[in-house]
This record gives sequence, structure tokens and C-alpha cells, in this order.
Amino acid sequence: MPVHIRTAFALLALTLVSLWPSRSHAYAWMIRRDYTACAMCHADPSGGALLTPYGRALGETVLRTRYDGKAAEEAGKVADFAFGAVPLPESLLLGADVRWMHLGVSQKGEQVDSRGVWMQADLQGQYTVDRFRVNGAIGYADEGALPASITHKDKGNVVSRVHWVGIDLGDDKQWLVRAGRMNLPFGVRSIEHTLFVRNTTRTDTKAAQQHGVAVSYNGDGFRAELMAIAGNLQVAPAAYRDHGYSGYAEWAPLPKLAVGISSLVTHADQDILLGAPAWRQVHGGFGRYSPIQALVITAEVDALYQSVKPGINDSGYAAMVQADVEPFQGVHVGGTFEAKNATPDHTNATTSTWLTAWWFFAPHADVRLDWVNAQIPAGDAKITQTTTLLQLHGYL
Amino acid sequence: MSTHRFPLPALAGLVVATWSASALATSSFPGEVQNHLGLSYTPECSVCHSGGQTGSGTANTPFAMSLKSRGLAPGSTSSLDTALDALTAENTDSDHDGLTDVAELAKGTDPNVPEGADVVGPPQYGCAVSPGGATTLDLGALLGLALVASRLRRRAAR
Repeated sequence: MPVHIRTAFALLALTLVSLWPSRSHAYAWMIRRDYTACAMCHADPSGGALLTPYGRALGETVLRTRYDGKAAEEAGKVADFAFGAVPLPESLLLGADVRWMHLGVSQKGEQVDSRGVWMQADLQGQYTVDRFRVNGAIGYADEGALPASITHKDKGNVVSRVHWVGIDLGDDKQWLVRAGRMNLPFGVRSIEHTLFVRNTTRTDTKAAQQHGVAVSYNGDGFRAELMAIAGNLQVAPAAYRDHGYSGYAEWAPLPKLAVGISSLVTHADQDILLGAPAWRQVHGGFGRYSPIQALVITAEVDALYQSVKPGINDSGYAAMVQADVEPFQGVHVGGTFEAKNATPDHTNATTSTWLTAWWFFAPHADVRLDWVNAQIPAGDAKITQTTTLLQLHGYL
Repeated sequence: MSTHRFPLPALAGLVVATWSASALATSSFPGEVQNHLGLSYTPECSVCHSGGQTGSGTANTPFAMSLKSRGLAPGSTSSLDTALDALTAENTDSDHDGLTDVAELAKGTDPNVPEGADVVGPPQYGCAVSPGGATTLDLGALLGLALVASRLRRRAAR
């Protein structure tokens, strides 16, 4: 195919994916291949979304299924941005994601929701000059994702989940100081934004980002990030903005074992979900372990505490354990069990069981199927809710 | 390079088989709340949707979050009834003002706003939603960094 046609094709695809909203992706189970840190593969030092050239190469060599039965020695141009059709200078990283999902929900045997959803798509970029970086993402949200909106409509908003400037410090650039809108550094940076440990702590990568200043460290066997939160400046009045900190530290004593702790404390004059002035605290631990290459166990436990004026205190927890099995390269099956007893629903625990099949079937593409069974307390009874999710994901 | 043929037809079939054209409507919910709780009026959309903005992903008031954590699903009036019953049984007070949500609805007050609290308007979303907001801060930071980068480049070129 002529180069100009390939280029036009790539630009068209780039334009299309930039018209949809984004969600970061991060794969904590890469620890099975001794990758305990995130900064080698992602522009974000704590993982997710925009890939470095090394991350792109891994996507081609070890992430996706190889059909020729041989381990790939080199990634080749197909791993590059837009499949190599648009060569980029070293100083520029570009990426784009598009993810479509079909969602089906049933309760008490009755189907209560069934629809297709454009979950994700955006254009991400980072420009580096010496030790300085400018990083940002922009996309389009047909519905929802209002906290990340930069336009003001009820629907059909342009969103920017992250945008920051940063400076690398240290001999090996092991330190990064950033300012702007960022994912909150807390717990396992997981793609599953609906996990209880992500949505009850408000640390998911869907729309929970905040503005602030963060300092991160990525060294041998140890990584950490601490962020001073100035609030989400894309929401007003200012009374709704959180102020506080969020951070984690993770230590990897072995190549296939990592354990960490997280902490978050915020205050808002008018908590956007609690409807009152509130202090929120979350403190917890998390870990990843791969006893054999085919299996990775990931777990996180978080204690929740909130103090709502006038002196009403609530506490609770969110926890999950997840098993990822990769019997063949690029093919994943697994399960997740999670529980929460989070305020204000503190009468009984909600539990949820996930069964997942995930296939990285082609360069820059994967398909995923989840079946989720939740037991939701409702008064003295429990509601059984079953959700089926089919996701198709592609990136440039 | 692989010569394996991807099972695209099978994937396409899977998508089509599970596709449903649109979300189920929830426009019947205000009336169902009125009927189920025996209210004398129909609650406003803003009881569940901040600022009255409706649509997927906008039901995020404290009252709506309480309903969703008790199994409320879009378009399902039976799940709404179940969640309302649970709120009633648990005496849920989403705005923590000492008056339960159901009592507030019966009284005609907003279960999202504490009694006697200073009323903060509904959240507004978007860039530069207030003076000195995201636009000013972020553009300033970006311009500053661009300036520094430009100087570094010039210095490197000398």
C-alpha cells in the first residue's frame, strides 16, 4: 500500500478515535514477566494509558497472541504509533484508544438494562524537551464523564481526563514532579474502574482524576507517588472540590512479588456524593504475586472512614482478590471476588464475583468478556444482580 | 509474521448477537417514586440528577447514590421499588441532617440538602466553570513550560 494512503488511513483512524471518551488501561499482572514498575512502559509513572516505545514493544512481543508459535525477538514497526505509518520523533509520544462495550444487566431474572456503550476513546500525547514534559489527553464523551468535561453540555462533551506538565529529576530520571490533572496515586492502578476498591475510594481512572502537584519515584524494586490534591478544577462551585493528599508506596522484594500501602485524606466543603461538608479517609494495602508465570494473584484491602458535619462518622471497607491465568500468550482467564461495606450502605456487605475471559488477539487489539454476579443488600433481603460485559478495544 | 486468520466473522457475530439498540428509559421513575411512597407531588428530576441534567451517568446526587447502592438499575421500576423499600427499612439519611430521605420526600424537602444548611448550587462541569479555574491555571502552566522548553532548545542549538 502506498505510504500516503497508509498515512491518510492512520490519520483518519486517529481522528475517529479522538472523538470518543477515554479510560486508562494498566495491567498489574505484567508482574508475571518481572515487570513490577509502570514507568518503563507508561508515560504516567504510576501506570495507565499513554505508552512509551518500550511499552509498545512489549505489547507486540509478550502481550498479544503469537500465532507462529515463536516468541517475537523484535516488535517491528507494527508496534509503533499508527502501526508505524506515522513516524514520530523521539521527543513525541502519541497514542489513541477506542473501546466499545455491550452491557447487559439482569435482576431477579428480569433484564433491566441492555445497551451498547462507547466506553473509551481519546487521543493522548506527551512532548519532552530535555527533562521537561507536557502530557495531555482529549476525547469526546457522548454521555456521562461530566467531572472530566471541558465543555458544558448535558451530553456530548469534550473531555480531558489528564493534562499535566512535569520535570524529571535525578541521575536516572527516577524522580518526576508533576502539576496538573492526574490519576490519583492509590492502590492497584486497575483498568476495571467499577471495582469496589476503585469506585468507593474514588480513585478510578474513568473520571476521578484531580488537579494538584505530585512527586513520584521509580527505582529498583521500589516505587511511590504522593499527590497534593487541589481539587477537580473542572467542577464548580469550589465548595465541591476536594483538598488533601493521596499516595502509595510499593516494594518489590522479589521479581514476582510486590506489596504496597496507600493513603488518602480529603476534605470538601460540600462533598459531591455525600451532600454535606465531609472529611474522607482511605488507608489500605495491596499486593501482587506470581508464583508461576501463568498465574498472578492481585489483592487490595482498604479501610474507609468519613466524617460528615455535624459530627456524623461512618467507617467501612472495600476489598478484592483477583486471579489472572494466562495459559497461552495473549489469552487470559480469571476471576475476581470483591466485597464492600462502605458508607452510607453500612448495614450489610455487598459482594461481587467476576469471571473474565480476555484475548489480545491482534496487534493493538483485544476483546474481553466479563460475567459479574453481585449480591446487593436491600433492607433485610439481598438482590442478585448479574451483569454481562463484552468489550472490544483497539489502540493506535 | 503470523499467517493466522483472525476470527473476525465470529467476533462480529458475537457483537451483533449481544447488541441492543438503546438504553431503557427511566422517565417513569419520578412518577414511580410518587406512587410507591404515596407522595402528593411528583419529585423533580434534580432529586437524582444534579442540576436536573438527565442522561446516562448523571444520576449522582447523594439520594441517587443511595438508591444505586441498593440495586437500582436503569429502566427497572421493580429495582426502584426494591431500593425505595430498602431506604425506608434502613431509615437512610443521605444528606446526614437527621431526617430520613423518605421523610424528607414526604415533607417536600430535598433529601440531598441538609436542613438549615447553606445552599450550594448544583455542581457545574466544564473548563473555566469559575474564574481562575482550570483554563487559567492550565494554560498558564502550559505557556510557562513552552517558554522554558523554547529557551532550552535555543540554548542547546548554540
